[in-house]
Amino acid sequence: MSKFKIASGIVSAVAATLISAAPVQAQDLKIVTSMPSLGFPFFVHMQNSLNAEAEVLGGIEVINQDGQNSAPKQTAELEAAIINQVSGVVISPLDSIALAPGVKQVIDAGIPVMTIDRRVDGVDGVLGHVGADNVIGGEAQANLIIDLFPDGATIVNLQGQPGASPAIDRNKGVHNILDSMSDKYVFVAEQTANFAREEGASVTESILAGLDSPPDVIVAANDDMALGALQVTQEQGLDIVIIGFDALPEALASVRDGGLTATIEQTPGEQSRRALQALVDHLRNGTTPEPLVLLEPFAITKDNIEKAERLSELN
Amino acid sequence: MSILELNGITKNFGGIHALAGVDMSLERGQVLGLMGDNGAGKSTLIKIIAGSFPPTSGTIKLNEKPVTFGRPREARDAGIEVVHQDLALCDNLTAAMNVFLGRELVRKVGPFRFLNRAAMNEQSAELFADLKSETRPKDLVRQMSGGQRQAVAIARTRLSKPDIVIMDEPTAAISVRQVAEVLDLIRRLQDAGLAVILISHRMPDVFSVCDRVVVLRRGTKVADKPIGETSPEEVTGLIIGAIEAA
Amino acid sequence: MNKDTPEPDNRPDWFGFAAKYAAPIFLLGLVLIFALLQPNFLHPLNLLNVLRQVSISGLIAIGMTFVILTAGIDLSVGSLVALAGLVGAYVSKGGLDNRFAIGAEAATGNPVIYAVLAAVAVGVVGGALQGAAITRLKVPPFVVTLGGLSVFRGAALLFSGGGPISGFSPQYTWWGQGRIGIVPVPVILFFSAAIVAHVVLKHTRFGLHVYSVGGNAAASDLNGVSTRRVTFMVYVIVGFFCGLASFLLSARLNSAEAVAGMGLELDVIAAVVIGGTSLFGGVGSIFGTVVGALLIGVLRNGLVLMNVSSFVQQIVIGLILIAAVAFDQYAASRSRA
Ligand SMILES: Nc1ncnc2c1ncn2[C@@H]1O[C@H](COP(=O)(O)OP(=O)(O)OP(=O)(O)O)[C@@H](O)[C@H]1O
Ligand SMILES: [Mg+2]
Repeated sequence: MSKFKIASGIVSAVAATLISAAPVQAQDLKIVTSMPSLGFPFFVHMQNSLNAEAEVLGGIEVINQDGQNSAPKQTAELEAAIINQVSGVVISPLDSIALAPGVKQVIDAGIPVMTIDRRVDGVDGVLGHVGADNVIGGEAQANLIIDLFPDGATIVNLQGQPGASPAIDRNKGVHNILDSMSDKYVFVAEQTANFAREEGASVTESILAGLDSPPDVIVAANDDMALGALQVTQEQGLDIVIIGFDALPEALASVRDGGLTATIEQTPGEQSRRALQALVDHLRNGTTPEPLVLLEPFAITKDNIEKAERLSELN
Repeated sequence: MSILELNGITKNFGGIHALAGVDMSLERGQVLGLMGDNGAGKSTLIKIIAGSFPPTSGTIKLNEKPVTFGRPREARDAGIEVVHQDLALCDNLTAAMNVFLGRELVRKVGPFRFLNRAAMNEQSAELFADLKSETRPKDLVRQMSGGQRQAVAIARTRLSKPDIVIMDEPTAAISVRQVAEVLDLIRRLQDAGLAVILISHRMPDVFSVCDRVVVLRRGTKVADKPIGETSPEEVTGLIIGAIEAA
Repeated sequence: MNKDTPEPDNRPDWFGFAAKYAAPIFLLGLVLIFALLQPNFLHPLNLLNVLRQVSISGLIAIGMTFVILTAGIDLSVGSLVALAGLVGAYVSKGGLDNRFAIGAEAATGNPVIYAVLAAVAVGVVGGALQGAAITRLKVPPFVVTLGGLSVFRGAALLFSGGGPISGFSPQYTWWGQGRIGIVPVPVILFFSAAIVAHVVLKHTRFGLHVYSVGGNAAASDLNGVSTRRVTFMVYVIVGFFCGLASFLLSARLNSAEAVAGMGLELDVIAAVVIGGTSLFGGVGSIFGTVVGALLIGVLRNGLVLMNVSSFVQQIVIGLILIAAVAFDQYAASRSRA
């Protein structure tokens, strides 16, 4: 491609973005979607689901915001939403506490807020929350382990980024169930791999090198780390049960093809749709939504793979 | 009574022997010419006197008292002013700030002390005028000609009342007219009773202002003579090694 | 008058002018464009929001200006902010026992002043340790602070056990969320600090030495400036601002956490560099840094208001960083020629 083509490509991409931002006729609602970080496919999927649902509902101008993995940035964008006098906000906060002051500002400005996936703490007046409990997701991982190994198992636990709330909660869920049976279910290694595939691979490699015999199960706090671990176990010709989390398309493909044993479906798309429906219903019809809707995360294996939300993205 | 006395000064940089057992003394009111080929060890010797780094071995006596300088500042406080060969200028500062660097004039406001730029600019302007240099105090050194830069470095030596002024090739980059000014300055320093060490590759300069000449060759002193007892030809021979020692 | 020194010519030196004021001109231009394209931009509340948004990274950028003026760099600021914020929060709460308590119990613990002092102390000590490593062990600043970036983040995680400390008293959060009149408190602190820092840099011996060390460290040493002390001090200063900023950040977000301030160093360095401070040291100003911080804040805010995708925002900010410095170089070379 010539330099000129690249340059004009960039220009038209920018122009398209700017044009798509312009208001369109006959839209009564202006709704902000605020994602913690579009660097993660999980949140991109959530945002896409919101946009698709807005299309279905009609008459909605959607403003997509991205916190870029920074609480101050996500807060700054909420402040911009207030200035822009939007009709409502659907937010998945980067941090349940750090985003609370920002969300409170939005509510104080008279703009209704729905939270999805993660909640905000200590703020009165949030219209409602639709989520899936990460702790329950971790418990689902643990229950699957019990199903697969009723007589007990040795477990390697790949934890998420230290300090991140999903990492904490998912880890907590796994331990909630298994710690009461610590005679049968033994964590032979627990390490963080920072939610990253590469680290999932390198950490698994080190752990395996340090163990006398391979573990029965590797449980990971997200699919990326699970896929990284899978890479290593396959290279070493080991047959170990690996359980991921998030039901990303790539993980689903792996489950389908006999790589990963399972992943956890949190139905983020369903959460998004329900939250947007509740918000729009409130804005148009004045209804008061259910304050708390928790969808139950569940394990996806080969047997129930058709229940995965993002199966259609495979091909 | 010698104001400065060096005994057995040796300096090694790793494997390089820059100086090997140099003895030298300097009297009040004396101008000493220090000569030698490139790399002979002249700058190294005066850096040791100026406290830039310590000698590997050897002693320095100032007014008969042994001294060791840990930092350049200590040498300066002991009355030794130096114009370094590379001039030691900060390109990003003005001429005046360079002149006063390390001993800025300040104004007291309550408990605070603020730079007194006006006073520093004014005094620098006087110093430059004194040196007959067309250097403007507020110009950045980055934008200056070689001669102007040299004037800034020389002007520094005029801030205190030193006993010894050392100039490492102060006439290297300047015009004939300015060379005359520098040589004149050296004579005035001498008249005021100071001791001066002049490093130069220019024979006429050395022979017009110096009382004595010391020649270094490959780190060793090969000559130390009153200027009246030698000639440019002999010194040249000593420098290049055609004459072994004198 | 002698002929060997050319008189300064009196024609207007547009490139010199542009080189000197590149960042402010750019800032004004951006403000104009956004004001035209998006009327909400000039809303006073929005402008105050922008100011508050830049004030925390702006405070650190003030400290970073000192460091970069000496031709140094501090990559550890984001991590140090996380650690100092946690320690301040810990002191404020009087321990980890009620780390999540919000509301009535939040007020228990120690007075806010202790929290501030603790946060600032951690920042100063962190900066001093790095300054000592740079000046005593002679490890380059890039390496020392790259190590610091990792060490402080790890220490923050270790200290907090990964989780946040949150729920502060109203006296605490006032510093991040409160206003005096209509002006947010962090904004007042940012501009006050900028004025003090400007005076220190331009009107004190220490400030002059910061410039001289950045311009020519060896020459500074020969002239009796203690390069070592100056270098040490600039890292202490940036540490101080990290401590102060960490307190304001935790007050703003009502929480301190080990993952706070990730990538903050990039915003901070960008503000300083866009503001015209040379990474090679010796050239730059606090005024430039304030403008640089505002420029980034305005750009981000304007693009968000106009609903430009965050991906495009990041591209635009990166390009402007490069353009600002390139223009600086170009104009400077033209004005010198
Ligand atoms: N810091 C240093 N590290 C290593 N070697 C050095 C250092 N400074 C000087 N030298 C070496 O010491 C020797 C003497 O150098 P010096 O600068 O004293 O010479 P000089 O007589 O001043 O020469 P010139 O007339 O070129 O200025 C040279 O071989 C030089 O390479
Ligand atoms: Mg020399």
